Amino acid sequence: MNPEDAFPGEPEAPPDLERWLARNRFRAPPPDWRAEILAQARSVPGAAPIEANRAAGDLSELEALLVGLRERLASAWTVVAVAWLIILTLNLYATPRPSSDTLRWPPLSEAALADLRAQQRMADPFSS
Amino acid sequence: MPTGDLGQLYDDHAASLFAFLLNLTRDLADTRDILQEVFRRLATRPGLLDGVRDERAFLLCLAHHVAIDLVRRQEARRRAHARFAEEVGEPMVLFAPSGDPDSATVQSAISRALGELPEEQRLVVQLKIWEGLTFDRIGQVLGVPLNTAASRYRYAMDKLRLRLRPLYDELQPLGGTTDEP
Repeated sequence: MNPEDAFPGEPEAPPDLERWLARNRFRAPPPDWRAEILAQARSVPGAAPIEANRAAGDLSELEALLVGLRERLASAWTVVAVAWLIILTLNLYATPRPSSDTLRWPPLSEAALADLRAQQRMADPFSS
Repeated sequence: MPTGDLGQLYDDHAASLFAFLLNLTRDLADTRDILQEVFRRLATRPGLLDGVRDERAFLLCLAHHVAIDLVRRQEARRRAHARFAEEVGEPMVLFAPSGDPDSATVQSAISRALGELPEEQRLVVQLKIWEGLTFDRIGQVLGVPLNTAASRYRYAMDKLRLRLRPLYDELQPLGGTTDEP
């Protein structure tokens, strides 16, 4: 790298540019915003006190991810849910239902009944 | 923080959120709307911060998502505003005013240079330099892998270096240090 192409000290001291930039502080929000924003936030129906639990927890990153997905893909989740319901409904209607005839046992013949009684006696010879 | 103190949350984080959103949207009204929405969600979802380890990063992430939704809805208006701002040649005032004329020149140049960066690079630069977040945390805030955040930062800094070097050199006293341009 040509030294003329870099800030003094680079590449050995690359943070120089960062430090130079960081010395410029961003402006603050207009002072009157605070009262307005907080008043509006608290006036929304369903607003409740924040129970900020600052305890460390591995759940935080997962929660951030889930919140992000929920916020970012809200419409996509709705579409997926609706599509799933449609598929479920179609599936229920398309599946052939068993008729009452197929559920009924065929009548046993006299011979079959006699065999069953004989087997029952053999299995339990002490019953009357 | 006392339970239920939304005001404390505002005092702790509003300045960072404001700077982040202003740099993102380059529009004061949009910034106001997004900030309002962030605090509305905080007020209506009491458990939102439960177990959150890094509140600042979490809120920046939330603000980014709200901004994406808003910007998506207002894309046309935003583009028109950006075109107008470009045409009239007045960059958005991002930095706190300073009495020093040199400082004002530097701030204006940095604002313009940041504005010329693609949005995704601009945000990474801000989160790294002004918020001091790690690339890992930046990735979480912006929803990109760590390596992507790092490479965006590298590209952005290369551009800023090229763009701001003349001014930087001009303000350097002969033989001066880089800390006092």
